[in-house]
Amino acid sequence: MKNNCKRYGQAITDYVLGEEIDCPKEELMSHLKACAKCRAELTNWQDFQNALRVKEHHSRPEVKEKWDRFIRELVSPSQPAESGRAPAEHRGILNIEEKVGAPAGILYQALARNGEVKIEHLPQITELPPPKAYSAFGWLACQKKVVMRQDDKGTYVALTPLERERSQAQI
Amino acid sequence: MRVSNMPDDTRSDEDLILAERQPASPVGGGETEALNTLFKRYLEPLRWFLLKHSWFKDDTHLDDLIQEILKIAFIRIKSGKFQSEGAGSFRRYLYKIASIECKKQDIARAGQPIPLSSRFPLVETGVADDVASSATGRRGTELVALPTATPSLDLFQDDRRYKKLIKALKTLSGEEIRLLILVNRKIPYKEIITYPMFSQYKLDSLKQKVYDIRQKVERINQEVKDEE
Repeated sequence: MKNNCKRYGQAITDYVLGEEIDCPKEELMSHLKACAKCRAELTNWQDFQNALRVKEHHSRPEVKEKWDRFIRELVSPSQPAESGRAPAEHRGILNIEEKVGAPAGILYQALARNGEVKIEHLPQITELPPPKAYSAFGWLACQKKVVMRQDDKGTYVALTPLERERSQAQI
Repeated sequence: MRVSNMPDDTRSDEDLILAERQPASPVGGGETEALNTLFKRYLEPLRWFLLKHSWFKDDTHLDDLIQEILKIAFIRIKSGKFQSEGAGSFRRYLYKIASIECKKQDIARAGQPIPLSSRFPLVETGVADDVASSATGRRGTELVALPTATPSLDLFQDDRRYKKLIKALKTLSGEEIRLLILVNRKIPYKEIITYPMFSQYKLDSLKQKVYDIRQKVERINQEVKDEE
């Protein structure tokens, strides 16, 4: 069994990463069913990938700032503790950064992938409902990250050349 | 300067809750900052826990759920419903809330009603290595090998595990971390070798490199385990 384990080591590594594996998937699965050591290795690798994702996420300044603000608001003494509800004048008010800022990130990535698109196609390329997609566009427009162009066929939007470069350099 | 204002507050969770609960006086007490410190401590481990034990992997969804968990914990601390039962009791309490929230999400996904018994699961015992990958015992992925009759979860173990993984992560070199971040984002090996910083690799050598990193992480994990 141990020799077999060596054989599946690379496959386990690649499988978790969504890469092609160098043996039939069914073969790997049946080995995993039988071998507790390899199952543990696979779980460790998955867990490690998740930990890396979490670390990377929390190292972003905007994420840090968002959570600082959320916790500060949560624990501030003005918050009524028993009900946990916001004061009446704040009820129903949404966190704009969360509701519009997050979709704006999705739109940014979609525009980076798709280049110039027709404005009415924003919901399709982002897979967001139209109000969210258009408010996300507004957010990016305010930040001067997008440009618009119009011709006989319609209105087109795209990332600014600078943002396009940035999005490519990110990787 | 209050202890909580120092860069790293090393007080235990229970001490922080106590500091917040005591009436404010010249020598301390009534520290709202204490809860701030407490909740910040768990942001990363909670996200990791949810990633590991739930079916959803979307960042916005995870954020919503973590906010919900922290709100519940906050309300229970403030209303006195959470009573400390010694070291580690808050951590246990928080992860219990998290596992219940995971379960609710599972059930909402399946569109089934929540049975009363499942809302208060007793999940204190250890995990067999073939236990389902969901906090609720539901199968999150196809990787789970054998069926397990009793879903169980050592929530403490999870918290320790995350710290162990972070320890392992810190021992890797800059290049290794950059490579792992790329593969973590599901960027194919074929594409990675076209990037200037990894141009010295061929497809096979890159595969081998990732495999070596995994082995290294596995070894470090094992060393930490032995130290314990």
